[in-house]
Amino acid sequence: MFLIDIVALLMVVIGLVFFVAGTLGLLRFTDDLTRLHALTKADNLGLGFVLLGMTLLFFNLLVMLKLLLIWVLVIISAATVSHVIGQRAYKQLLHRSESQDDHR
Amino acid sequence: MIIVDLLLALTIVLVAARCLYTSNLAESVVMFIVFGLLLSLVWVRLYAPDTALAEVAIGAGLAGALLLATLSQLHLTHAAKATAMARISLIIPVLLGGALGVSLLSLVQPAPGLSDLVMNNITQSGVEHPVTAVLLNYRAWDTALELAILMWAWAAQRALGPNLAWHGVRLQGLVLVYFSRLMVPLLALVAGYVLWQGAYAPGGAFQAGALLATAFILAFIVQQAQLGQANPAVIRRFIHHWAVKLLWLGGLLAFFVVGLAGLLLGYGFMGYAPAYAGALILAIEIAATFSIALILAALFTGEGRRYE
Repeated sequence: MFLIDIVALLMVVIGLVFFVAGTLGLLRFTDDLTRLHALTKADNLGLGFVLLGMTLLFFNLLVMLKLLLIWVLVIISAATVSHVIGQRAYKQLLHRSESQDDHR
Repeated sequence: MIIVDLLLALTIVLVAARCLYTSNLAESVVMFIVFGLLLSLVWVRLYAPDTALAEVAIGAGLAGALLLATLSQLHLTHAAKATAMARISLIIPVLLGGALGVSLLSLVQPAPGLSDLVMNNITQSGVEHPVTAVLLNYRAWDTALELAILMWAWAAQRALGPNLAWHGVRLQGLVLVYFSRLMVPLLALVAGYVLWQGAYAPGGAFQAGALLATAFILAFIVQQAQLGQANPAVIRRFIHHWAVKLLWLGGLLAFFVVGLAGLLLGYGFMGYAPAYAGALILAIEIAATFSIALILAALFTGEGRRYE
């Protein structure tokens, strides 16, 4: 029981590291596309590890399935939202480079 | 845990201040959404999961979507600089907060509260979950008026002026289409689950209505993003169809029909016969869920210009 607690704690801490790294990337990276790259790490791996830790703590099949469902749904929405934001950012990027070409 | 609570309290005040006192409107909206998410965490910490669910779904999610849609229709990005009067008026919330703090300290300990009264009568209320018992039975009158307020909000939005055309960007690819094909039925299913669960656990009409509204709004956005300006706006027309508009009023009507029946049968206005209370509450909640979902979605989509 004690060993499981330690492993669960380790998983949550690893998840938090990914969250911190993702947030840092979101704040420090210079353009929208690289920021998205940082964000997806927090969403997918960070949340994944935290939820893995949670499943070990609860050790109940129903709770495990619910947490797995949450993870899958968050991944799907994160990927879709990233796709939409990415398209918008890419269009703005194209627009900007076109207007720079005009100035030359 | 006290450290977490203190951090949460401090962050929420800072986020609220930033939301009110930044001149960048987009930042203000994002801060409002963050404020809603943090507030729902506060409700979780106060052991109020019902309120947390409603706050995160309506306060952060739908209100945030409404504000973002409004922002896309405004042709400005920055609010006017705060006047001296606005700065001086900051003293009012500070005084109010101080007064609340003082009154909190002078409360009777332990506070008597109404929870004994609620729990002693729960077997007669028709549901097992105390929050639903309060909302749909003991204080059903308040909940009915909340539905009326939603109608009022819709009327106020209409009175502000014509709903403008949607300014969404046209997107490439089918990612959003497949996303909505997965999510819209799932949201409807979860809305049904949350509604049914309200009888014995956190959940109920407002949370379910917010989820269903999200399904409508998602379908609407995806339709707009795929088709752009040439869009026939099927979802919007469906929501504003006269037959569907009857459902907007369904929650309020159900409340008053049941309320009047209670009056005639001698249980008082909005009193239920204990034997039928459970079924009546479920019927009212189903009608209310559709009302809430449709009105919230109508607030988001607007009537739009006529395409006929």
